[in-house]
Amino acid sequence: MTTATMTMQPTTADRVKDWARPHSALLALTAVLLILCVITATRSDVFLSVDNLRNVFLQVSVLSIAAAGTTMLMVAGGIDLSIGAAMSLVGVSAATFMQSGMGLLPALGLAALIGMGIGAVNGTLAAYSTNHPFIITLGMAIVLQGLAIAVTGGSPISSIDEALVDFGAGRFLGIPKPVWTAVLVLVVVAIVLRFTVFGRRLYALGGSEQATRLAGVPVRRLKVLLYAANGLIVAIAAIVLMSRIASAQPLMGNGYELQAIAAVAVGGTPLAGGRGGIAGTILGVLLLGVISNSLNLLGVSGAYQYVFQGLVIVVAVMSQRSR
Amino acid sequence: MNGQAVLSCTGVSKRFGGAVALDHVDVALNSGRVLALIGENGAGKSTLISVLTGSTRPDSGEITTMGGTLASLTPSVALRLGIAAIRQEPVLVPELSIEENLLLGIEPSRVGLVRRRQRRALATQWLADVAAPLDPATRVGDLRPADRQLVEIARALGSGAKVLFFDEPTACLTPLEVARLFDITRSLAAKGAAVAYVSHRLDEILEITDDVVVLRDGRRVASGETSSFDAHGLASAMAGRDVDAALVRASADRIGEAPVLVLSDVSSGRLRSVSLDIRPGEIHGIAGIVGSSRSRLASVVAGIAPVQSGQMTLAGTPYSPANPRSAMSRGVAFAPEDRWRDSLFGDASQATNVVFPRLPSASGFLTMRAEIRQASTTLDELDVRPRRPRMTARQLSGGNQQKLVLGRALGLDPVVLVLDEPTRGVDVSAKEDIHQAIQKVTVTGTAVLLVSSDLPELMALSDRITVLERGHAVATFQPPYNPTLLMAAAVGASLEAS
Repeated sequence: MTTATMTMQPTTADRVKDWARPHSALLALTAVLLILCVITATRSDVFLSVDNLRNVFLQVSVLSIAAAGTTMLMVAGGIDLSIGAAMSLVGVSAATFMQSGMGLLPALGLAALIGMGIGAVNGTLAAYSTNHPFIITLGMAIVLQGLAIAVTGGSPISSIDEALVDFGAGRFLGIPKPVWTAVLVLVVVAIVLRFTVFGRRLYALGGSEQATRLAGVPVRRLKVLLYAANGLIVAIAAIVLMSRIASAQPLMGNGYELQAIAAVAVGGTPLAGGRGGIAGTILGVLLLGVISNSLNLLGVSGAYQYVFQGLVIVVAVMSQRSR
Repeated sequence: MNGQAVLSCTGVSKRFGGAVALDHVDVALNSGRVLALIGENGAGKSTLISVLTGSTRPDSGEITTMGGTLASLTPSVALRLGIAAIRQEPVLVPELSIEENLLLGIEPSRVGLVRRRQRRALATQWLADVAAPLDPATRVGDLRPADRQLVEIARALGSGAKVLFFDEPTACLTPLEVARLFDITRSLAAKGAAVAYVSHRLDEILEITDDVVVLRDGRRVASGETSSFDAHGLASAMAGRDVDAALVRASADRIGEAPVLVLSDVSSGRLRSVSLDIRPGEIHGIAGIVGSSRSRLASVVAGIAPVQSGQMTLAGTPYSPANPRSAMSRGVAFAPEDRWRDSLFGDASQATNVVFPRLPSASGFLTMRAEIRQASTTLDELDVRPRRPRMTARQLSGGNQQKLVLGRALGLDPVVLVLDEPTRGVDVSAKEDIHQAIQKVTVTGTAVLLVSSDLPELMALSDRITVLERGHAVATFQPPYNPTLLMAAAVGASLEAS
């Protein structure tokens, strides 16, 4: 009887095991990040200075917002290659609205709607066709990029609302406002993934789409909602980026889609989905940011920075458990 | 030459974990003869084929080939010895043409360039050898399953196979195609090949094979010349009579009068105008061999496959679920056969897997703690081990994974519970737990549609058993069941009810 009761309740060791298994990649990533910080700190006096750290966080703020959305997508087994182009289109649209005399908030609101609209289109195509979102959103990226260039006639728009520029350069409690925005987005997405029905369904969708459908989940609607939510996050990333560079350019979002996917993958969320989450993505974004920063401080040339960053991505992904 | 043993095994045993798949089995394949390997699902046929074609290494026993005696084969050794298996699902590249597939990897070539004319000539010859009326330039993806199978046979023979295993080759064939396959099989044997033929269909076994080996629970329980058996004898040997009497349910007064689910002339895919009903508290078993559309029946009731003609009513009102969700909203829960493809989330916790269709949340927000609380009754009742609700489903044993699948369906408090192979590939103790849970749920009036290829299980649990044969409901049996008659109905053999 004693053995029977013992099997009924998990022991402390079991609890630790059940926690450590999904979190082992995070622990390893944290260790790598800390080692990297220690090495850089011993080689450079500047690294641990408040100004430099603030700069690191500011540099990755836009990327971490985009990566938050991509985390949701990848957890659900989806992907969106059009977010860079969508950021460009949302940015230049918002700037154009403001240029034509629209107020700041209506312009940003409209930009957010455009972002969600783009996401909803991607989601609808992904949900109602059998094509992989990789190809669908690749095509959409080219369409959106063309539209962004068409909207601006190819040239940058630098007449950005002062309030927005102030936001991009401003601080609250000593921390840049773009960083606060990123933290807010990351926290919201983390809560959505962990503590909502929507989030559970995203993990399920990534785990097995067929099983999710058979469990009675309206899978198509879920996908449309997912991509639209990602579109909103993309719009936020675009606006924060615009506030930081104080202008809107038709190529401003270029490359963010791949950086976001890389950061999420480094953070342990597999392309196939079903597991992973925001904690890993934060570590992935920070790792990429800190590497770039420390290579700068150590005076490594730009060319080798690429090589090193790329290697880190490959090694990080290779070292993850395949299942 | 003919009659000589070209491949045989003696005393071969194989265990998978605690389960005995093969227990000291002796089998010999003789040149010029067709050997039937028969038995119920799980009897050990597949394992035996794997051992004899080199993809599974036996724990003990030896294998004798023309070249000598070995402890085990490997796939490449088997290939070199001319041993080939024709599977249910042909292993061909659909995008390539027949000739490209036939000579894939062994293309006649000069300085790395394929000699197309020579390849065409070889392919044409090989197709002629199996009397296949096919154009070698046709894309394999455009072929019907029967023709793909022919291409595979042609490939095996062309590359020198002397020993051929056919694993359920007629599962997807029409009667005419079956006749053609039999002609080919006969001519292969006449040319001195040794053929092993695995099938559930006793009429086919009696028609095409010379010798027969019957497996049950990993043991050879009967063997001899096919002509010394009749369908009745084979069916008895396959089914066995060791049904545990204690498991047979006493006649049940808990069963309601009016049926809760009624199917009238329902057709869907290969399912042909099936009529049956289930009463509250009743377990209605569905028996049938591969190709009987028994899973299709479950899919139709669960709202996955569409009803193409006929009607269903549930609790007196018309029932035509457009999708699994609408089936669930009417109180129909489904535990599918393929737990990995259709049910489980490997990286999600035990608890999430159980409560997923109805997450404990009124506001859209929820916590793991709430999921564990909601799942705990089910996890306790089914005795999921280890009792660690946060552990991922992937880490569990097959039996415990199956308990999660069943637990999810039970958690919906269904009016009708549809189970497709609820105990396939699970160990004995999990099987018992699952059987108890199924019986328990009927006490509260849930009607159970139990689809299973495990005849003892069906006989132990069911209040009635309907037998499907090639999509038709051919017979309905009441307890006490006669396994021989059930098996005979399932394989379409015409037997005297003696």
